Amino acid sequence: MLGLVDMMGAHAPRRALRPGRRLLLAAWLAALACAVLWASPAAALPSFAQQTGEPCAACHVGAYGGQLKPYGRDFKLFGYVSGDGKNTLPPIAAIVSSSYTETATDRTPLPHYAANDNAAITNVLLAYAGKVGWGVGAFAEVTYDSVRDKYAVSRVDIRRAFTGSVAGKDVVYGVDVNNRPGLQDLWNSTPVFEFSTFTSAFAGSPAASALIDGKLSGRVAGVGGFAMWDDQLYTEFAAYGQLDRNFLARQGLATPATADRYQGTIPYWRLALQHDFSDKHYLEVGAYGVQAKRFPADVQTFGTDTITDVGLDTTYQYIGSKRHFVAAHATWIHEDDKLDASHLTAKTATSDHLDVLRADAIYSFNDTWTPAVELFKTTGSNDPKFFRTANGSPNSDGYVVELMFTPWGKKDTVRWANARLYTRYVGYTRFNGKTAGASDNNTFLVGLSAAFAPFGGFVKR
Amino acid sequence: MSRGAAPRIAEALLKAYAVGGVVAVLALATAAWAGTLTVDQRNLKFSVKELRVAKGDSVEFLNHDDTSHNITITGQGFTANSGLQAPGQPFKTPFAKTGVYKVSCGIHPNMRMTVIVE
Repeated sequence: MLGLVDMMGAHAPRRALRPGRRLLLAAWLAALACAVLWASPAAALPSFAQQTGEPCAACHVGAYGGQLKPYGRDFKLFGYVSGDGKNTLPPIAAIVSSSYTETATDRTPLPHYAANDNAAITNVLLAYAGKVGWGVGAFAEVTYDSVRDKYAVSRVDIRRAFTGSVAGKDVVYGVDVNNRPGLQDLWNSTPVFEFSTFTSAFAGSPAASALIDGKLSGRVAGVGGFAMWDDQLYTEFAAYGQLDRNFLARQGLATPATADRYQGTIPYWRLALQHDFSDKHYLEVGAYGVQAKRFPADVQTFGTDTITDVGLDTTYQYIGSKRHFVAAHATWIHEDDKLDASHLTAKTATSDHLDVLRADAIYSFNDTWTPAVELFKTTGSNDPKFFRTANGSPNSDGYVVELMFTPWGKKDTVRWANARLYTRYVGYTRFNGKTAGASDNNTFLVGLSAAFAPFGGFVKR
Repeated sequence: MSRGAAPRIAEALLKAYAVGGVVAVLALATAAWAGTLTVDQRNLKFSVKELRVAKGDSVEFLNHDDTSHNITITGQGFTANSGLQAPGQPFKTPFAKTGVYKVSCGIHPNMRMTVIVE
């Protein structure tokens, strides 16, 4: 297995960085550093900061999107509408992300790119994130994937929250429309906002994943209702339907004629309990699930498969210090695949199952330096026709080590821009059922993400 | 000026002083009775979920967080807004009518409390 040090070139039993690659990496790092320094004023989506007057660090661990702190969860729960009343301009934000990716062995190159060592502006994202009106708030993104030259409506979450009282306790309840089950979730222990979002189009990833682990992303739309009772008990139910294929094709999502089609309504549910102990320790435990009926390869004459995912999750956060923030998350997803249709059309087994376990720990110092580590493990039944791996096993496991640096997004910096430098190493000890050669898929990634709210600089406070 | 005018003016002035004195004493007494109660904001929470005050009392909201707040009070046809309340800056408002008032922070939506004026 290649270690991180090996990948950096200190000890490279299999694949040292060649001089040209060293030069490319050095040039890339220098460019990133220049970009950061050039962007020097600073503040996830800075349009939220524009609206609230709060820096990114108020809502996010590490001051740049993703992991939510208690206030970030409240801001989302109440529908993205909170603010200090000073902003009258549209809450628009843009994010430009770029990265350098190196994999342990060369891969089939993407069009216009090399088999390895690719530096690229990976995507440009435009978002409406904040208050819409009439108590409605939205977090909606359009993304241009510049590696694949595709546009997509990537994430849409529109909310309206109300407050009331049940059994003498406060309740926050509301309606939510979104385009991916779990996008509306308040915690970072469920798949959509779990751990880090920094991935690379140039890296390999295991073939098997659970339905709720991204397979429905952007392909469905749904509406649901949620309620948080006494700031402790969260319940939610939503119903999704597959979006029109022509619409999806226009969004850049691959929908070949043989792509699976989901039949009817896809129900999603969520239950969670949260509590903070003496304003120092925060704990959440929960469960979630989704079920879909699927026409495999869009063949509609042999009935449907039924896929049922049930997940458990937990979040811990140490919230007792302004300088030190510690968080840990874990989730376990069990997928039950009843393959009535696939068994007839593709000769799969009549049923399969998949278990996904992930756990991560993250520490943030001053919301500036944020190291993190994740362990992941996927296991399941053996079925070459269903999981599409060489030996039929979906098993993959490994780890992720990440370091993020966010110089801005704090109390004393501006609210209209922010940036994050990061480096990430993904190591595999098993990949698609094989331990031999698993580390060939190990990936080293270094990148810069910069976010701007073009109107944010005009808000007077 | 006629000879009887001076006593009448003096009498009128005395009455005016007397009435003014009574009004002033009443006003001072009322002010003394109307108290000021304090609610703290710390760790993005109000120090109490519910506060009972007497009609005419004032409530002073302190900010011991290191972030700004934006207090909004609504109820009984009354609204008040602190504007951007910086750390350390107090915000005081009187409650002149009996009834229930909802208090919240515009920036931090989970900060909510109730003031009951009796």
